[in-house]
Amino acid sequence: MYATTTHNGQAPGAAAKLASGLGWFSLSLGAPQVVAPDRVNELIGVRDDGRARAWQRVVGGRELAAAAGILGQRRPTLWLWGRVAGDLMDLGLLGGAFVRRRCDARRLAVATASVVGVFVADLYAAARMSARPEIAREEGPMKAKAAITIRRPREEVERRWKDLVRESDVFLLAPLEVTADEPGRRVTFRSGAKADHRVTGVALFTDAPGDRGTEIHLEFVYASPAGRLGEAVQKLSGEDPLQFAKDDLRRFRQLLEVGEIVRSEGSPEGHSVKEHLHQRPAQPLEHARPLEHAHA
Amino acid sequence: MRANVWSGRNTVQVENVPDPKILNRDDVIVRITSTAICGSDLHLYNGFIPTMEKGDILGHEFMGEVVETGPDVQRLKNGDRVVVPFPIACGRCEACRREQYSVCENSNPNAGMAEKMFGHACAGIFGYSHLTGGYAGGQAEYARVPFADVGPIKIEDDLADEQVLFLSDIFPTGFMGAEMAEPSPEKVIAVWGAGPVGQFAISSARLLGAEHVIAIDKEEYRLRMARERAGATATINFEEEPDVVEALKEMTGGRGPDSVIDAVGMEATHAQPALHAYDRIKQATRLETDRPHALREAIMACRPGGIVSVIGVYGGMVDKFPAGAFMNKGLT
Repeated sequence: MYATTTHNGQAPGAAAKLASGLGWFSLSLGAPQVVAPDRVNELIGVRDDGRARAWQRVVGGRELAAAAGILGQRRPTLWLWGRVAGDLMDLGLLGGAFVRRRCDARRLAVATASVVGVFVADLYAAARMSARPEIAREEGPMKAKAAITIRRPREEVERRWKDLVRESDVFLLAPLEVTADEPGRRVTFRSGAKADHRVTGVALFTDAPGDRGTEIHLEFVYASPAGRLGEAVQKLSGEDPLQFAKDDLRRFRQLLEVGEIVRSEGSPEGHSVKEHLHQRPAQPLEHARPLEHAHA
Repeated sequence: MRANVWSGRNTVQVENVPDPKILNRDDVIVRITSTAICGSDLHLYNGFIPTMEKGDILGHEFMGEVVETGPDVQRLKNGDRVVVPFPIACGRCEACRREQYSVCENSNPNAGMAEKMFGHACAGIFGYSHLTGGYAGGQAEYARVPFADVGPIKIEDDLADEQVLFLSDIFPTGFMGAEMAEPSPEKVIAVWGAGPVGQFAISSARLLGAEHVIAIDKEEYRLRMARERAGATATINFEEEPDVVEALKEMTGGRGPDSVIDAVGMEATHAQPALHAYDRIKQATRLETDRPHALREAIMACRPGGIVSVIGVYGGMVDKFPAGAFMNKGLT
């Protein structure tokens, strides 16, 4: 099956992606610095004492602020320059550690070299964003496409899809309301009132070549109430409309071709990207409850 | 019930686990009378296949008696004796219609996981990691068998378990390897690996009409079995003749084998200690997931315009694949 996401139909450019990446980098660095400064000191070769830990927490707090600033804005130019200043501060601190507080010269050298590398990336990102006002991080609602082919006739596939999306128990993306319906061509839909995500889109049903059945093409736009940062967090935890759409299409194919949603001991709820992150062991369940609405 | 479960790298143990339950309407439960260990189970044991969870029941080669049937099962009833094929197939998708059951489109509830690694998912498999669906395997007292009207082979005569058990995996696997090699009387077929799958590949090639089959391995007892039982017409022990490519040329009047079959896979042994060490170190540090030595050699040995048939198990990416040889010699 096929699935992809873009923002406003355009993939973000390299500089914008770098800026986003630096935002995520700040987040992933700042968190351990604040929460486990002793481990970070050890990792970078600085002698771990009260002062060194205090400095780690300060730097960690700065990184987290930078992360929030960069990830929360389309053009976080000042925050990127802030990262550049932060790198210089870090180089100063590491230099001081070399003189006064070093524990493992090799690790300290590696950490310093890493900061120099990041400094170059930060400088480039900040300079590009300043120089080119049209560069911006991902903006606006996410657009997603997904496609699958099902070995059943088009009329049946279209009818069953329209029926099932109105309920919320089989499909993860449901409930969806059909707002316009040109049978045999396109079905326009949007999220029902109770849905967690705001989704609007189009489903196209076309005949697959030969006797392979029906192709379903979904194209939809979605926005999370939690904003861009929320979208990223959702994607990591598997709670993302594109992933739901992929799961739904697979489950839909199973319902139509097999008659049931296919279950395994490792994934007893059937195909679900969220389940992929938390597999139970592949051994029989203590109590097998029937999957609700699993049958066609 | 008791079952053999994976408990971490290089650790398997027999534990008490719940009995299987019917989950889908065309499941059956089988009381297992015989079950086998496959060479590919070693890749799970050695920790080279990702997505294993502690507690996964292993085993994908089993047979037994049906003891419970789901509401939609039509072809089987309690008491039937069945051999269960290791790939799980729905029988109704496009792949199953093409009789390509090992890539069934519906039987893997973790298809999204496999798609990330392989581009598209393969079918569900019993007891072979969560990439293939996380199905409980058959090294146990009982197993749940999905799509019971499609896969299981009913045994209606008095053949002993040992005579039919290998229909679950290694005989059809070896047969498919031989079939893909397109054997015929005038062709020379070379088979890397004289383990159980290799033995079946050799005998299948003979069954399909080949009259010249060369087995390659380093264990003398396997090469003897290949000659005396499986029908190999010649053998190469690569510890005695490390230059297998040259040895094959010599045995074929300089032409090279017409088709080559890799029945070894990702844990290949190299005769040359330094190169073997290179692959083993890279694999141990996970810089390379597979050791493709047999495949490299098979590609180099195959005559130009010939066929490379691969049934050895690979999991991920290989280093230094001889793409130049493969393309310039026009191999299939």
